Amino acid sequence: MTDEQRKKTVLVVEDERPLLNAISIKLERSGFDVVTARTVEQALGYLSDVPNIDAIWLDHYLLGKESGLDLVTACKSEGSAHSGIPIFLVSNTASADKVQSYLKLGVNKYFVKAEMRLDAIIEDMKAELAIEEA
Amino acid sequence: MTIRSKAITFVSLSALVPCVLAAVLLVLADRALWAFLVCVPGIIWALFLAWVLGRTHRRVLQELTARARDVVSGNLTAFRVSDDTHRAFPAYAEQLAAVGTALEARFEEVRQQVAEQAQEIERMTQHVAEAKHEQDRMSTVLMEREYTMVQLKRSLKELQRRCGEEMVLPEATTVPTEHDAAEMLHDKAAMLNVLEDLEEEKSLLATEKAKDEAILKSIGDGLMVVDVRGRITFLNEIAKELLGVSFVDPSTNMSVVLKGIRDAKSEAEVSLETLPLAQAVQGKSVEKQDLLIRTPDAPDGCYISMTATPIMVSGLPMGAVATFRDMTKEREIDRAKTEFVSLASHQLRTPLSTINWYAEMLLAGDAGELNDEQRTYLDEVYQGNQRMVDLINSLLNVSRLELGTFSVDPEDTDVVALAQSVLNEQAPQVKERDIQLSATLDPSTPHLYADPKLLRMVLQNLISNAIKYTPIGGSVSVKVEPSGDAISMRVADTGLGIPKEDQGRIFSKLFRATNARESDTDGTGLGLYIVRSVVEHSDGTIRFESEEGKGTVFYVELPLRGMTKREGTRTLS
Repeated sequence: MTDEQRKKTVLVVEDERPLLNAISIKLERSGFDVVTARTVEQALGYLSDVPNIDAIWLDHYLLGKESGLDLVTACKSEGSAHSGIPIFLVSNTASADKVQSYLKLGVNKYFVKAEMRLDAIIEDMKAELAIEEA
Repeated sequence: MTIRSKAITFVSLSALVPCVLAAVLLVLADRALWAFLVCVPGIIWALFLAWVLGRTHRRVLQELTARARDVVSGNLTAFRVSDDTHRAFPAYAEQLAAVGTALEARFEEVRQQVAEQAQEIERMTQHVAEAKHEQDRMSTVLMEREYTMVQLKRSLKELQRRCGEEMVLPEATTVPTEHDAAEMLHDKAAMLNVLEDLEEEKSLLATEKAKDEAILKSIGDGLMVVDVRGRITFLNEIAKELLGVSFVDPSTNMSVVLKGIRDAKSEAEVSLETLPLAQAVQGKSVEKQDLLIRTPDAPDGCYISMTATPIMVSGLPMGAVATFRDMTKEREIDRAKTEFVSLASHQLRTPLSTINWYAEMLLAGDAGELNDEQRTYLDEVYQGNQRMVDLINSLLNVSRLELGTFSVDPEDTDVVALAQSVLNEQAPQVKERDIQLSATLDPSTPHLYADPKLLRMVLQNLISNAIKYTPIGGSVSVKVEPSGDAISMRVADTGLGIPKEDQGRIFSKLFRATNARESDTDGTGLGLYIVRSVVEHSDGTIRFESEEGKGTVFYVELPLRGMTKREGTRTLS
């Protein structure tokens, strides 16, 4: 098994382009493959088209009418092929009740964007993925 | 010797003299036995005569004494001598009878005079009683007039006070208590003068009242005046509007219009005794209590701020005045402002995150190695941005507390462990400032059913403030222990202290003490505001003791029953 084959792929769903870029760069530097989406529709498209997506980095408010909650609902719905993919909610604006809804649907972790360093989120995510893998 | 004794002696001796002479002649004739025989009967006769005369004389004297007693007692009809006396001394008895008759006549005269005088006394007594009654009546009238005048004067002064005008009134007349008839007449005249003055005052009062009513009608706040028994004596149109009443009978009790009034914060019904107006009637001023009134016209409620002041006369409460302002608009504006702050803060978070993460990547060398100068500059950018994030978080917390959108998620919390964790977090600052930190965390402190995030916020703010505002080398002590049915937390420092003039505002939003502002620019003035809000939402208490230049001690007590779960849309961070 080569190093390339061992790389994990993260689908980053974030509407703010500068943030999306920063996340992508940092994830790539941290050893991940990254695919990015700014709407739920794009994200669902990548999930269908790109095999082996290992994790989803998700914001709450997204471009388009749908929010991150719609994507999680779709992923975790019965019969979904993506229900096993760990999801990390990274948002500044999700309200407490929304966060509760995400966690109930099966989101692995929630981070407040403004309060976290990028490397800290990535480290946390790595640890979580290692647990999932084990 | 009395005349009576002389007379008896004379009569007795005169009876004895012939016998003694015969006895002397017989002795000279040498007839001693015959002399003795002649002398003895003579002596016996003389003694008998003396006894008879003495007895009669005694009876007369007794009679005279008895009459004298009759004279004294007024019994002149019995002023008669006995038959024996009459026979023995007819002339004397006649004279005595005449004296008795004369005395009887004189006595009759005296009796008549006495009766007349008694009548006169009776008449005079009646007159005095009537005079006294009149005096009492006049005193009562005077007292009533006096009271009326004092009342009018008081009302007038109150009106003057409201109008902000000065007017000198004549001093109240002292009410007399007792007068004689002449003084009463004088008082009557004085009273008439007072009444004249009163008429003038009344006329002046009527003018002032008209002016006053115009002023009261034109003010935009509700106004209610009650007497000492809580009966409404004045209620302006705005007050009627706010209280949802169209007409109030004079002397209606305030409880009728204030019934069902609620606390603005808890919306729980407030008992009448705790309302500001009721407290003011008892002599206690209450400022700006926020209340909620629900009326058929305003089912959602109308928020008012009520201030009540007692009306004191000679140190005694005579009633109270309450003013109340419609706070609905102000609350709407305040809510809009808070919502704006919340929205703006949320929107600011995204660009702040961008700055944060790019600065972080640059500092991590993700875009190539930085030279020292670049690193220093970028580090400032990163730190500045962190401060901005902290400020935004505090503003969001404030808006959540004010909007009531924050959630409380209580769980079994080890307060001692939490305090230790906060202290550990502060270790770098403690080291940097060379602070002598001592912690007394009683391990027997029971766990508290509380939201650990909120509790951490309280301890974090108090401890970080203590460290931040204590000069290098100073000391900070933290104590956590059980205290009755509460958990007591104490944070003491030897820092700047809070200046006396700032102590009343130290928990106000965005307020920073003068010396804190002068010594450190990094501070939002939101920390203690948030701490107090959290403590009060948890039914706890917070207080402090502070002396400028010596230090400050904050005391927090949280009830052991813990916090109540609250479903909010936001958590405090």
